Amino acid sequence: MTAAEKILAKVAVGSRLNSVQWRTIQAGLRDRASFSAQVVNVQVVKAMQRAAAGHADGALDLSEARKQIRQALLGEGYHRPEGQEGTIVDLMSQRRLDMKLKTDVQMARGWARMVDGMSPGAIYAFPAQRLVRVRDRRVPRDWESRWRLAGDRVGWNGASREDMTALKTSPIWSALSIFGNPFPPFDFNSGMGLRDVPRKTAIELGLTTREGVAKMVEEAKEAKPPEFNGTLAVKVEPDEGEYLKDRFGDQVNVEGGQAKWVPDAVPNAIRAGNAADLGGGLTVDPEVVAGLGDDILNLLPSLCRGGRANPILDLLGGGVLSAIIVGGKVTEVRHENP
Amino acid sequence: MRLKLKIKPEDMGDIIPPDEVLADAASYAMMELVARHLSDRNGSHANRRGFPRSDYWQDASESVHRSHRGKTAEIEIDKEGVALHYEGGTVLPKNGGRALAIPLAAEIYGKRPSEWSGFNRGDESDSDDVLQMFWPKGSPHGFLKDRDSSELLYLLVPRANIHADKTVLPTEDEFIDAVREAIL
Repeated sequence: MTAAEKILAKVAVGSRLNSVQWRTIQAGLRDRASFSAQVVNVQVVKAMQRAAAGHADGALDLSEARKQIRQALLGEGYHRPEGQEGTIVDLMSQRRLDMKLKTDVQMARGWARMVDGMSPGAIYAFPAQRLVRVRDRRVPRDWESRWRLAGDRVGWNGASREDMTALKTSPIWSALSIFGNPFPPFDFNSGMGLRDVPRKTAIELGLTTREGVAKMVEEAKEAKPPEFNGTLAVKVEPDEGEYLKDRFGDQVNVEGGQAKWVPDAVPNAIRAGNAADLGGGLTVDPEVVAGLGDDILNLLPSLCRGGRANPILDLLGGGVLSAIIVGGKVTEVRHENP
Repeated sequence: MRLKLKIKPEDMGDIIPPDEVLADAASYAMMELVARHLSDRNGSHANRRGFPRSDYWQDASESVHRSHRGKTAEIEIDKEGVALHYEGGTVLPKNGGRALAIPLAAEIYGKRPSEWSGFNRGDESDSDDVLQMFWPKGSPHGFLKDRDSSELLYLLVPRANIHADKTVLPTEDEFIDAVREAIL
């Protein structure tokens, strides 16, 4: 699976969670979601996903990818936050878009390289890897301290204390990452990456032996090829499941101690007549709904519950907002008191 | 534009082994060499105009992947422009445009003129009210300048010639050494 395919295999999830809150979602589930901090509108998330995939594929440069997302934002009626134009909270700013695109692409490429690097031949030739600086930063973070902390946390299992090098199978890689992933990027805008370390050097560093490498190769042969599917279920604790339902509603399915993302949850829920579950008192004629595409249906809840409707409802003191749709487009939003 | 390398056993003499794991190791080693080579290039190629680094070659390094395994090593570099740097060629304006725009200021590096338009700034109109074109009569070059400050932001040229640079990729000897080290 290429980096672009990995990006597209994720499930687009809309949410008010900020980046710190997203980090509380376990890595297995978070890595299967395509999201952007505090972006509720799934259509916007999908546009970001498509642009990131195009950039990962080499088809779009950053400027073209930014342009596609900006067009989607304007199409969804986005207005830049007054007084905060150009900052990270402005979804149209170059800073925000570059951060989003670069992180998504680097993460997908990091995953794809990790998977490829675990093949039997790759393990035979390069059983270890080294954390190195690959991009300059004005104020570099102290990665040696982070390495020591992560090493202590995992008992230096397969990792060197002297050199930021460890076996590819060492748990230190996940411990090092703020995202909990065993592949780069290990932090936002970190500038750090990985270099493969040849067998000979790994043995000289005392990380493994010839026999150890042979065992790793045998294990790699036995290992199932990792598959990636955005809707794969992960184990969750009961309180974790409740938290997920509370934050993501119908976008996540929690059942039997497992959780998984539900693609296009919003259009499906509206079509199934469960619009009330979406909150905000969404009222849409079922006959009208039958003729609408996912893009329009995705827009409705953000209108009535998320983005623009909440401030309106607050001003109106509650009530019900309903969308008037003509020719597949929302032309009017009506408000009724309870 | 992508660069795809297809390295078949016959190109590599008899060094690609018949063993499946070793063949896999050999093709991975070639991929790793290309990635490391591009990453090193990123470190040694500062922006010629002194602009902030775009880390173009590091991005290229991270885009390297194998699409197939086995006895034929197929390595792809999914980064726009790498093939052009390697093979050379002439860059012409896209979509019927009149000129290519080359940034003249550090803060706009990586930003296209179209991103200055009202549309991209989030205004309702699609007016292009920030940049003004200035093309001296008879000159092969023009400029885009800031309408308010008159600062020259982009140099406009009808085309750009890129010379072929075979050092974009490692040499054949380096490929052979990498494979030898991986499998021996």
